[in-house]
Amino acid sequence: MTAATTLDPDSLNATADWQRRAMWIVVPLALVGLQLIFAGTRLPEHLDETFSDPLDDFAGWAQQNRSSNWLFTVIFRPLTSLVSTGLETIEETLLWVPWFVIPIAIFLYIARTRAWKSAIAASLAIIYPGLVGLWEVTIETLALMGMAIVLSVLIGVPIGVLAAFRRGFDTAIRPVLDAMQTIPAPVYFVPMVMFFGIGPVPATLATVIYALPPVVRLTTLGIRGVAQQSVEASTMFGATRWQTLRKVQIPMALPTIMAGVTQTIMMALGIVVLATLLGAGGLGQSVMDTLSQRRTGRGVATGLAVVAIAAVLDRLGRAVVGQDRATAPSRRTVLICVGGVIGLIIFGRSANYIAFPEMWETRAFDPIDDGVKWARDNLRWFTRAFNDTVVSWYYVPVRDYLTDSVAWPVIIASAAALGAWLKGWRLALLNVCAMGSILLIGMWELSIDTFVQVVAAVVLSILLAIPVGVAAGRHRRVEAALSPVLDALQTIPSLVYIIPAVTLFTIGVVPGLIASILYAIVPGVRLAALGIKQVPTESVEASQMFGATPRQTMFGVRIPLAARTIMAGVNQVIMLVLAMVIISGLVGGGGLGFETISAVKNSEVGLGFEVGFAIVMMAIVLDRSSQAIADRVGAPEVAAH
Amino acid sequence: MKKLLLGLLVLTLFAVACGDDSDSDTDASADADGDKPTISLVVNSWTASALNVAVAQQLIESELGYPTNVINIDENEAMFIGLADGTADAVLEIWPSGITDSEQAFFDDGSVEHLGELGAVGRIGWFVPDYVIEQNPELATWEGYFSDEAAAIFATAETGDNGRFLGTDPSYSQFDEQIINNLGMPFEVIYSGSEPATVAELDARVSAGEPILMYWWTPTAAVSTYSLVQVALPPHTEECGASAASGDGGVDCEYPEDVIIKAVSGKLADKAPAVYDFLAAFTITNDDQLSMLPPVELDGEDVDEVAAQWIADNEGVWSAWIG
Repeated sequence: MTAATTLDPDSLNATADWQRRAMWIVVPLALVGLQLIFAGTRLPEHLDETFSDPLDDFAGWAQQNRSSNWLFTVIFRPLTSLVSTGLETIEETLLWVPWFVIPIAIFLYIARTRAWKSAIAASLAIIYPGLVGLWEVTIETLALMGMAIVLSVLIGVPIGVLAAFRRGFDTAIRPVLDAMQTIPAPVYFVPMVMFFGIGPVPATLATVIYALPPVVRLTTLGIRGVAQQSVEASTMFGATRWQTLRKVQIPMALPTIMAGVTQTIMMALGIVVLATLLGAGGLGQSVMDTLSQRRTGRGVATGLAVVAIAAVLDRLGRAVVGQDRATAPSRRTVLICVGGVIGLIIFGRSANYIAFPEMWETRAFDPIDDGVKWARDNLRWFTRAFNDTVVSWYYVPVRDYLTDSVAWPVIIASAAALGAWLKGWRLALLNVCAMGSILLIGMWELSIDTFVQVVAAVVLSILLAIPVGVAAGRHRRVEAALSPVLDALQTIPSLVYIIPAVTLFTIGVVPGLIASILYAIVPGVRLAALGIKQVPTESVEASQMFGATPRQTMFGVRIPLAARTIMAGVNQVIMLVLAMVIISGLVGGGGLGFETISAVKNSEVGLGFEVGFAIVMMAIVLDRSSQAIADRVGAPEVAAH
Repeated sequence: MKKLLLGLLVLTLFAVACGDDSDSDTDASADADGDKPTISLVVNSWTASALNVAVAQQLIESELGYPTNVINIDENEAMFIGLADGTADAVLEIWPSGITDSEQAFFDDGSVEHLGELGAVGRIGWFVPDYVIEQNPELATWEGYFSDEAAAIFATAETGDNGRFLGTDPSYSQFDEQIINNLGMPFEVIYSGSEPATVAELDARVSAGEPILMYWWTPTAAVSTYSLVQVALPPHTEECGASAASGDGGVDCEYPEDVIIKAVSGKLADKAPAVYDFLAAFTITNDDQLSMLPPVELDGEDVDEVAAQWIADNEGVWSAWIG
C-alpha cells in the first residue's frame, strides 16, 4: 500500500481498489470451497503425545530422583528451606509484635509523606481482618505476599535494568514476559510441585513468576525514560556507570518502577485463591473452606480481607517514593516516632497484650447468607431463564456449529483472511501458526469451547464498560463512587461472588461469564473514562458552538476522539477475560479452564503444558488482532480531527 | 527516609532476636517445644478430612507436646510427593479407590508408609434427592437410567436431550464418564470443577424441588440435609476394579466400598516415634465423623471447636492411643 501511494497514485490506487473489492468475492468463495472439501473429515492425527510424553517422562524422572540428584540436593532443597525460613521469620515476627503496633507503624510510615488520608485508610484497612477474626490467617497471607513481592523486586529490577541497557536482551526476554503473564498460573504449579514440593514455598515462588513481568517492564521503561542530559551530566562529573545508575538513573526512574511494583502487588494478590492448589493455606484456603460450607457471608468477609491487604500494600508502596525533601519530617520527629513504636512494642509485650482481641468474627457477615437464600427462592425463575437462554441460544449452538459443522481448515483460513485484511500477511501467518499448533497438540475442540465463552465475555464486558466509563469520564461524582468498587472488583477473590452465582444461575458457563465480566470491565471502564477526560475542551466547545446537541457532541466528537484510549481498554479486557478462563473452570465452565484445573489437581505435567500453550496461543491471536482493529479504528479517526 | 528504614530494620532484627527466647509460659507457640520437630498434617478439601486432622492435631499438641501445622492440598500425586520428601508427615484419610498406579509406587518404594485403617468406611456413588425416587421409583437402580424419559428428567440447557450427571472436583476419583459410556446411558457428565460449586448447585436444585443426579459420598452431612439417596449401580467385580487402577477406561460397575486408610511419610518413624505410634493407633469411625460433620457443615461452627468438643466427650476412646 505504501508503494502504491509513492509511485503512481491514481492508477495504482485504482488497481488496489479493484483488487480489494475482488477479495470480497474470492475469499468467501475459497472458504466455501474449503468447507466443501473438508466437511465431515475428522481432525488430523494429533501430535500431542510427542509433545507431552517427554514432559511426563521428565516429571517421572524428577519424582524418582528427588532425594538423590544434585539438582535437588544442591539447588532446590536449599532454596526451599531458605524461602521457608524467610516466610516463618516474617510470620512469627508479625505475630510476635503486639497487634496494635502494626496499624500505628503503617500510619506513621505513610504519614511521613503527608498523605494523611492514605495513612488513615491503610491503618484502618489492616485492622479490618482483625475485627472479623482473621488476624492470624491474614498475617500468614501477608507474609507470603510480602516475601513474593520482595523477591519479585529483587529479581525484577536487575533484569529490567539490564534490559534497558541491552536491546538484544530486551528483545529476548519480551516474549518470555508475555508468556509469563498469559499462561494461567496453575500451569506452572505442576512443575513447582516437582521441584519444591507442596506448601507455602512453591506458592511463593509461583506467585513470583506470575507477578514478575510488570516490575521488569516498568523498570526498563523508567530507566530508558531518564533524560539523556541527566546521565551525561553525571558522566561529565566523573561518575562511573554504576554510580550513574545508582545515584541518577534508578532514583529518577523510581516512580515508574514503583508503578510496576504496585501492579505486581495486585497481580500477586490475584492468585491468593488459586495458590491453594499448592497448599498455600492462608486467606485463600479460608475462602475455599467457607464457600464449601455455603457460607457466602463469611466468604465475602474473608475476600474483603484480601482487598484490605491489597489496599495496605498499595499505599505502602506509594509511600516508599511519595516523599520530597520539602515535606520530609525532621530527624527529631522520625526518632520520636521510631522510639514511640519501640516503646509500644515493649509495652504490649510486657503487658502481654499481643493477639488481636476477639471481636465479631466472620459471623458478622452471616446475614448475607440470608440474602443469597432470598435471591435463590425469589429471583431464580428469572436467572435460570436467563441462564438457559444464553446456553441454548448462544453457547451450545455456536460451540457445536464451530466444532461439528465448520471444517477446521475453514476456521484457520478465516482467521488468516481476517489477519491479512487487518494488518497484512504477517498477522495472517501468525494466526495460521498459532491455530495450527493448537490443532496439532490436540486442544482444538477445548479451545473452541473456551473461545466461544471468551468472545461472549469480551463483547458483554465492552458493552457494559464503555457507557459506564463514559459516564465516569464526564461526571466526577460517578467516578468517585465507582473507584472503590472497581478496586474491590479487581482484588476480591472472584469465587466469593460466583459461588452464589451458581446458586442463582446453575453450574455451567454462565457463572464463569459473569465472573469474567465483573473482573474484566475494570480496565475497560478506567480507560474509557480516561479517554473521555483527555478529549480537549476546545474540540467539545467548538462542536457546541456549531450548535451540536449533547448527543451529537458525544457520538460525533467525544467518543471518536477517545477511541484510541478506549481501544487500549478493549485490549486489556480481552487479556483479563483470558485470565479468568481458569476460574470459570471451577464453576462448570469446562473447556481449557477445567482441563487446566484437572491437570494441576492430578499432577499431569504434559497435559498442563498443552493447555497452557493453547491458552497462550489464543491470547496471542486475540491480542494481536484486537490491536490491529484498534489501529484501524483508532488512528484514522483521531487523525481526521 | 533511610533513617526510618534503618530503624524499622533494627526493630525487626530486635523483634526476631527476642522472638527466639520469648516467654514460653504465655503462648504455646512452637518456641515452647523447641526440641521437638513440628508435625505437618495433610488436610484434603473435604470436611471430614479437616475434622480427623483437627482431632489428631490437638491431641499431638496437648498430649505428646509436639508443635503441629496443617497443609491443605488435594489428594493427588503432589500430596504423595510432599509425604515422600517429609514436607508433610501424615495424611489421615486416603480413599483406596482413588489410588493410582503412580501413587501406589510411593507405597511400594517405602517413601510413604501405609499406617493401617482409619476406622471409617466410605462409599462413593451416584446420588439423587429422595423426591426423585418417590416420583420415579425406577430411578432407584441403574436399570432405570437407559430411557430417554430418564434422561429428560435430568436434562439441562447444556446437555440437551441427554441427562446431566454432575461430576465434581477433578482431584476426586471419578469413573462416571466410563460407567455411563460403557453401559450406554443417554447421559453426559458435566464437571462442576470444585466442591463449593457442587454444593451450591445441590442447594439450589433441592430448594426448588428440581431433580439432580450427582457424584457424592458417605459419610457426609449433606446426605441427611438434602435427603440424598444412593442409586444402585452394577455390583463391583475384581475385573472392574483392575480397570479402575490401571486407567484403561473399562469401568462399568459401582465404586467399591472404601475402607479408609492412614499414611505417613517414610521418615516419620525416625523423626517422631511417639507421633508415629499415636497415629498408628488413631481411629475415627463413621459414627464419630457423623457426630462432628453436622455442626461444621450445617451450623457453620469452627472445625477446631467441634474437634475439641469431641475430644472432651471421648477421653475414654483417645486415651488408649497415647503410648
